Amino acid sequence: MKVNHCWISGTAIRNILFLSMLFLFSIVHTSEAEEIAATLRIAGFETYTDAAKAVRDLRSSGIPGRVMAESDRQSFYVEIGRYHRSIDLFRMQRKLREKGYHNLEMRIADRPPLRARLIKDWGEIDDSLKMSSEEFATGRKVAKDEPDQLLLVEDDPSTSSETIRNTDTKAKKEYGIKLSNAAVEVGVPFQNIPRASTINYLRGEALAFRQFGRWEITLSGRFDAHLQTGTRGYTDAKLDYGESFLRYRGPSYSLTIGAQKVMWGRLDFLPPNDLLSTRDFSRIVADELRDQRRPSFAIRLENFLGSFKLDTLVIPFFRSAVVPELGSAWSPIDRYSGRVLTGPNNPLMNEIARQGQIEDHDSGFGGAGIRLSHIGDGFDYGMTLQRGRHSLPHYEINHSLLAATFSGVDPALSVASIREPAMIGLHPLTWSLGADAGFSVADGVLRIEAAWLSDVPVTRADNFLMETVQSFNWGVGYEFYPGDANLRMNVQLMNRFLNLGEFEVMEDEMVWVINGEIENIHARNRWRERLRFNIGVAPYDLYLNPEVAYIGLENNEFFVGMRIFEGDIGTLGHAFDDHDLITAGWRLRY
Amino acid sequence: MANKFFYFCVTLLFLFSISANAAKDGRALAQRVYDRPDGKDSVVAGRMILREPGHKPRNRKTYSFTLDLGNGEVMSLVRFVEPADVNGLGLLTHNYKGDKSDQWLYLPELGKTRRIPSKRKGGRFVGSDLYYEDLRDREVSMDTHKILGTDKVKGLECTLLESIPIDKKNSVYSKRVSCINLQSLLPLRIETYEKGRPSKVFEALKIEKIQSIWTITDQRITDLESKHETRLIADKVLYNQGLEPSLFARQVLEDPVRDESFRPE
Repeated sequence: MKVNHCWISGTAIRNILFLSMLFLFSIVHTSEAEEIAATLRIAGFETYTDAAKAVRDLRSSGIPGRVMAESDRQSFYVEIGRYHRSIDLFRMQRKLREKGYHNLEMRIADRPPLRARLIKDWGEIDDSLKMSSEEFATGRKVAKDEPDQLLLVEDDPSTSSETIRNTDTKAKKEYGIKLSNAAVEVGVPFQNIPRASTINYLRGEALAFRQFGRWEITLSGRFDAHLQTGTRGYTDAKLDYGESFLRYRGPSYSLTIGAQKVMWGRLDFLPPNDLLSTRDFSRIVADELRDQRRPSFAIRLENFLGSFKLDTLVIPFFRSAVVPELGSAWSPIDRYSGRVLTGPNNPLMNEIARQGQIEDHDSGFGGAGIRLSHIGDGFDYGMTLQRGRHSLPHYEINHSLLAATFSGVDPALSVASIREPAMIGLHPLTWSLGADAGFSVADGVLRIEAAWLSDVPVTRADNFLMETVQSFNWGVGYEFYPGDANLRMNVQLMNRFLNLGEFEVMEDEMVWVINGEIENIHARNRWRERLRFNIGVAPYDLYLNPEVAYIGLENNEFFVGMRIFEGDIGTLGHAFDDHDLITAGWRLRY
Repeated sequence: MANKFFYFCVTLLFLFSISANAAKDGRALAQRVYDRPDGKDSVVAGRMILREPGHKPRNRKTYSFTLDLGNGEVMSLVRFVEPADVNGLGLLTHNYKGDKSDQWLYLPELGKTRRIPSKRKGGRFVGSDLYYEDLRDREVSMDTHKILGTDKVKGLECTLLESIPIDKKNSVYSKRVSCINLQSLLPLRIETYEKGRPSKVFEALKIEKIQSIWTITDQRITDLESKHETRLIADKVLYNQGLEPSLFARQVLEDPVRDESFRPE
């Protein structure tokens, strides 16, 4: 006869009851206020600074503490306090552990020091409090004969490791001289180019530097050679200075005086707030981004205030952009055909292009600017105020030439007879006020930037004279990695709006451009495919630069690529429409 | 019938308790590994050697600085020294509690600091076998952990710990199986899986006790498909040097000379 339908046996019930009693006993036991006399400290600080920081941190949470030195003076500890009840001691231990302090040490009166570390995540206190200093530091049992090294493979001398326990904190003195940058490029037009059968380029840059304490001096120079073959051969070789400056590093600032490249703004391609840098336009846009600027003499003070940076720049002497020499295939003025590739074509302009003297007014005060920027907390931003000149010249026709032309004199005759330059490159001063920001959106980074400029030069359509108008330039860029792999895309949308007023000008009032870069690095950083693009939407202006490069040999790039131009009249794309090239070359960077 | 039901329930309870215990112990072990003392700060002079059958090895040399501010906030600065074309390049990372972080790259040739997508997980870091995810702090709570048993690596005992992302989107790996040496609380080997297939093996080759802290000073990462290897060697390691947060500021990122005095000789 069944007397009990319960499927849990009596033994099991007894076991459950026993375990429950044990559990209750353990709770009561740990809650008991046992009388003790103990001190609690956080030990193991190798520097006073660390210990002091811990005290500051503790005091901010209302926990008292003071820095004490160990008797051997080799390390420091933070004394928390004395406790007479174990429950108080354990509560403080728990509190400290929650704040992230694990190296706790207890000293109980009339007993040898006991060292403890709370290692159980669920809050239990390890009963085995007796630990060596080693155990205390590492939080685990240490056998007396434990080695200092666990060697899992035979030691390879080429990869041996030396353990050091101190460091020389003095600034290192360095000096050296090196070839810092070199490039060779051969370009072969794949259309029937009228001006050249090959367009070739060579560049080398050397740099010497020396640091002594807070001072640094850098000197550099470069060599550029252009060699064009074909029916209209052209050779040009030039020496120029590179970044050459004296720098002093203060505790929270750096002062740099000398020739330097300073590129403000946040967008990668043509940032609107990049007003004061000197453009290198000698090969239009064929160079790498880093090589599209030349240094100009400036005084720069960089102040760092926490996560803010206040950047002040003064350029006492203006340096104009480096533009292609007449005769170069990259020149926008074709001496042979008498065409102005990026401007209006009329009998006067054609005569100027064919035989006129062209000069750049690149003297005067270069400008000054101040930029405040901040990084951190998920949002970077900057504000820039500048007074400066566009380094690219705006060409204006000689006024007397214009007057003669309007009065009916033959342009060829007037250009031939004038002794002054027929066309002058001007760089009017402008104010620029801008702001920019960068932050993460989805899996990429969004960059936005805008600038208002007070005086942008334009050419009036009625009298060909230069005027200045206000301009608003802005852009937005997004950089991301499709598929979260090695493909990177950086796409920008740019806009320039000219506030023209009542007169008509030769330039477009509104310009929209999409530009950027698509890059894929694969085969363990051995190969890189890249497409650089600049697509003018209105007016139409296309530049494409696909390139495949072998980058597996450190510091070197061997590349094959194309440069493709196309566009409406007056644009760069149109100017170099017959300059589509297949290129091959080598770049070096040290 | 009642007896059968009783045994069935006991078996279920037993299995459940084993599974629950394995999970609980797994998480506890993962937490212990995560909480392992590794100093308030550290400075490492390191080398990365990339090896691939049929190719000459390529070397990268870096100095890395790390400061643990507590509460999940960790700052790090990696300065590239070699090869020469990346000399001065700096990577500054501010990790916050959870999955949040800020990351900037300083490009010396342009003199520019660029914010870079900090959520990037895939993509090979400077052509190595490390993904960007491998460089970042991964909190214990982001995975489920289970102890699978024990194993031996080169004669050293270790505990097999399986970790699977709770949110599949926040990791390139579908699974990681680590063999944790309980003496040092360091993984002697980690096998990673991508889309369920074994992809890479991380192997510790040398573990040293430096300033009482067990440290992997030599490790190898092997891509199982291509057999490409990345060797990470810590030539010099220093802990608790009293690094200040100011070392992890933009001023230092943009001026490599300013961290030179903190680099071990």
